[in-house]
Amino acid sequence: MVFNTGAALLDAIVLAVVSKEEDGTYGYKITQDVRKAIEVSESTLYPVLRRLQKDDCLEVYDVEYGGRNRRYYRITEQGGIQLNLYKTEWENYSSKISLLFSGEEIV
Amino acid sequence: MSRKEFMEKLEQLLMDIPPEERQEALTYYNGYFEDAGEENEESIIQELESPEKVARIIKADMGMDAEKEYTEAGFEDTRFRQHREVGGQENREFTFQEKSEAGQTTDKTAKTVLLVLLAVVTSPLWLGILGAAAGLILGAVGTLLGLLFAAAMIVLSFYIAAFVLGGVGISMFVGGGIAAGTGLCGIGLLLLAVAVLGTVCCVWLFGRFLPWLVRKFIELCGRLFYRKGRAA
Repeated sequence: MVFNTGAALLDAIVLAVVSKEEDGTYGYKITQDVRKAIEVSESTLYPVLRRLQKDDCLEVYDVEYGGRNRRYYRITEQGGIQLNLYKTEWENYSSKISLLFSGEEIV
Repeated sequence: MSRKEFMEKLEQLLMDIPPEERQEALTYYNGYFEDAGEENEESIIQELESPEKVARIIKADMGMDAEKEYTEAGFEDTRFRQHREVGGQENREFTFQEKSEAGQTTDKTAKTVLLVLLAVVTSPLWLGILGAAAGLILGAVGTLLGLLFAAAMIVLSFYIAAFVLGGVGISMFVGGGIAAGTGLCGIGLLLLAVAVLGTVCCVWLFGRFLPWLVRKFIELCGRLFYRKGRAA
């Protein structure tokens, strides 16, 4: 891992991963999907999920699975709005850096 | 470490957070292990590194709940945060350590400030007590000195009386009143005797008793402070 992922970017990534599933997904799967994109410790994601849930960007519901309750996370409307903000901001941010790296002038 | 041991230790470490939060965290990680499957149990424990690390991360993030700006207005703030936090995860763990270290030094300063404040607030009380004690000591000393002085004065007055009477007695001899004169002389001599005795007493008082008293007092003070020094 060369570049560290800030808290905001991490939130954005988690929201993006969860939003891909219409009915939401569960903690273990979310972690696996996030780790396809960035290197994070498996212990990193729980606080992120908890926080997003408290901020009403994610909602939780339990589904019975194999004799236990499996907790699913689903993106809320507010979470969707937040994700869009993040996406726009990322586009802005990353394109400028890409321009810089390619030697072009940033307009 | 097995999953069971890991989770038990984690539960222990989370005892100082609200029960609701604790339960949420434990449920999450238990579910995590379940979904990963038994075959992945070991690798997950390796990845999680230790219950201490997991607990620390959970608690660290709880402290950050205060700074919330997930609104459209907060759009600018998020960007600012993103740039500031290039350190990301490591930054968070680092800040946590800084916080706990800073917390310890602040604790000491806080304690000192509290003690000073306590001393100032209760100053009427302990100043009063000290003042009373000092007053008592001074009073005792004063009384003692006064008594000694009085004793000396009494002796002196006996001398004076003795000589006065003696003088009057002798003058009576000259005048012709032998009986009266003898009587007065006799009384005068008696008084003289008492005075001399008194002088001896005074000499003893001032020469022996007083110094002994002073020495004993110094000894007492010395023992008090010495004992304090040893205890400290």
